[in-house]
Amino acid sequence: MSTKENPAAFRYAASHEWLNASGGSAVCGITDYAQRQLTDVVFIELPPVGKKVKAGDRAAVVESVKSVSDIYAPVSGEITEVNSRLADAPELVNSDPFGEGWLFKISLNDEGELQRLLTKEGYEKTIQGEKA
Amino acid sequence: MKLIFEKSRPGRTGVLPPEPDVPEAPPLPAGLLRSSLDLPEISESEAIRHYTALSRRNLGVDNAFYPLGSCTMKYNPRLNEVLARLDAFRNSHPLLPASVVQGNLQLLYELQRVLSLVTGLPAVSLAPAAGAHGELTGLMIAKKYFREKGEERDVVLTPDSSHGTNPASAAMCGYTVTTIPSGPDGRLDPEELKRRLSPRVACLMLTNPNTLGIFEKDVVAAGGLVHEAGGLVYGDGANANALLGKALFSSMGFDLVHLNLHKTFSTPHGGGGPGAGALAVTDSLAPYLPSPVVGMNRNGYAFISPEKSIGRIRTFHGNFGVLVRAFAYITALGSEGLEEATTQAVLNACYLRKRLEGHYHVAYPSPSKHEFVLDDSGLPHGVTMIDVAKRLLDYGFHPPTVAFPLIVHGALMIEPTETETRETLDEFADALIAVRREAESDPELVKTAPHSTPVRRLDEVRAARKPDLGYDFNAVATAATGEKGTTEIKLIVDGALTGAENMARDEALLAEGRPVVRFYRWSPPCVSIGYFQDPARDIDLEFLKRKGIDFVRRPTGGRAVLHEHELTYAIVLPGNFLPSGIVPSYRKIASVFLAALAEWGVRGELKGPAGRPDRSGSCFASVSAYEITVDGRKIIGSAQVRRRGVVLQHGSLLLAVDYDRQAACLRGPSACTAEELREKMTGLYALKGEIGIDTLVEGISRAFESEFGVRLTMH
Repeated sequence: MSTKENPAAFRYAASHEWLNASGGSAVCGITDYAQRQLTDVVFIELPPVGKKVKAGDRAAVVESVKSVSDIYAPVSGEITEVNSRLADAPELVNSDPFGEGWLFKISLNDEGELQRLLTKEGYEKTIQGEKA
Repeated sequence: MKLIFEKSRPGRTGVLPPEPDVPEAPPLPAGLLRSSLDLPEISESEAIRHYTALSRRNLGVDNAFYPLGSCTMKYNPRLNEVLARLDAFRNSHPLLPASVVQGNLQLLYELQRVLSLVTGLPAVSLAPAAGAHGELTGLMIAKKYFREKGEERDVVLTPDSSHGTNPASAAMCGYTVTTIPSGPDGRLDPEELKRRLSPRVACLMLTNPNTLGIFEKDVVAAGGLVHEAGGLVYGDGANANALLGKALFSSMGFDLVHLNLHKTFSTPHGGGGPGAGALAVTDSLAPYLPSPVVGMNRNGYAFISPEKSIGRIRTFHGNFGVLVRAFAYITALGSEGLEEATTQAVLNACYLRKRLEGHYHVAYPSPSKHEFVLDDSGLPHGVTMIDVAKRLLDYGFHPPTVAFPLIVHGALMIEPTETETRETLDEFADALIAVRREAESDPELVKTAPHSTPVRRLDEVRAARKPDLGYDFNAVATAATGEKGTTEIKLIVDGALTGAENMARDEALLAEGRPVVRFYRWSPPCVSIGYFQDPARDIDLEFLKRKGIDFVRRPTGGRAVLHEHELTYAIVLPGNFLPSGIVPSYRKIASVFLAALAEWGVRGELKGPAGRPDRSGSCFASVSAYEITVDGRKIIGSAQVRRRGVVLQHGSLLLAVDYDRQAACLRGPSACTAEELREKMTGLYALKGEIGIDTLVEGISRAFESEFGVRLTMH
């Protein structure tokens, strides 16, 4: 699998989630770097629609190589939709992390929170730090 | 002794923080939040005892003579501490408007004025936070000054005896550094200087007295040469305690000079701070001083930005507490007192030098000022100056500076504090002379010193190159002592517990997030299923009930396992103990078990992935990727969970397998026949006969210590 560019329009959390905001809501997923660290994802537990989360709360759980990892909400808000295709095709998270492998949509409580997320450049610096 | 983090227990506390009296700020983004602050949790008494014990093991100015050359361990009057802690000084916010902190500004203004008086240079900035910062500031001023004059000057000259910060500051400021070799008397040689002067030279940086403690008697002539060539003369005032009240920097031809207030004006320093490197300059350079300086306008004292200022070089107004102490020192002593301190500093150094001359070789015979340098010529039996310095510790003295200045081989640089009594100086001289005799009569004693200190001789290379001064997420790291495995990790050996208890303990350890290795067993036998498994689909719950087999869900991934004849482990490690990525972390932990198996004569193997993992939980998946196998059969199965940067991996070392029972527990798509399982699993006892649980725990623990370079301590 070739490395996928982190989209410049997205915002990122240091815990490797991405967020693509438009209007008062946003689509969230995990980054290409994250899916490489996880390797093949076999199960995904997504939050119930309507669940209210705070930034940093656990929003989803994935399993890969018998390892269960938490995925965190990058911002506070209410879950409005989840990617139901992942129940049967969790591999989408690996093959298209920034596209078809999205995890959930969230309505934003406070758009100001977006300012606290990382830009593509900031996120890539964080990854460099982890690799070092 | 134990480090404070080793004494820490969760929830123990010595303080009750007050209720917040300001509105709570909105939460930080997830990526910036930490779930643990990694602070030690101890009672007040423990904290006091801990630091008192540490201070007793320390050798400092409060319990010993401290003749550290070049560092000027000046007498620090306790009164200065009282004054620096006065409420109005300590509690003034640096953003307060000038109108409400007139007293503080007056202190800065007056300090600028007295520093101008003692240097003879009219304008002063108090902003630089240390000597080297003063150098950098001075060189930035020179740069702007020449640029505005339209002159291109990019060379800075420094003598080979200079403080390392001189060439470093020049290089940092973008200059090319040219070194001037010292003359045979240890001084700057005007001829050598002349040869290097050119219209490209911006500055000569000179310390006077120089780092050998020798007065640069040609300083005026040298300054004249530099000025003729259109350059500036920068004075490193690090040794100003040998000049104060005796000679003015202005009369010696210096255009700029920094004063290490923490040395010359007596504020406690060491361990990297805090310092203050006030910069004094001539009238023609005054407009370039960094912003702000304190001046006066119609409203009183005010922060003023000089006309052509190089701008800010530090936030706010320098290290204010250090400035208060310096001002207190100066005003308490007055001009006569300052001169007296200089006289005493030089007298003490000369006295020590005279007493030691017949026993050690003085590097340069020129008369010295406040410090002098011995070298290692004549030391017998391969004893080095470092050995001598270490042996001094056994006599209760802090060693002088070694290996500086660089132009002296085996340098020992002695700078006595100006307030030391003759008796103390004699005791120190006697000790050094005694060490010299020991070097003759018992060189091994000196070479292996110190013998009476809380820590013996350190591995200096390791201490310098790999200083281990912090601690990792509650795993305690001790300073580099040359010992192997200095990080301590908790070891828990539990007996046989129920499934619920075992998983609760693992989850609690994960939530706590401290590094830990836990061993445990199960009673009654128990089937555990993975986080995502459906028990109704995959487990024959009726069979379990009938046989009295317990049942529990794991926080980790993977499929159903019957825990019966096995030793189970749980390892909790913050992510920084492991390589990033799940597979590399499995590999790292597997190395522990492979090493332990090898010790018992079993050749294990870490199985790689066989294509995309199977979600069905079917029997074919029962030996999945990254299990440890022997001849293709699983012997250790493991699984992980990762929360907030902490990894819990637990797994089973199979001792004996009851294939029929194992098979009977499973049903649905994950069912296996006993025959199939026989092909896929094996137990250690079938390979090596019975080995005691204690032996297994011991073997895995030792392998863990060696693979992770840590020490496991039983709790």
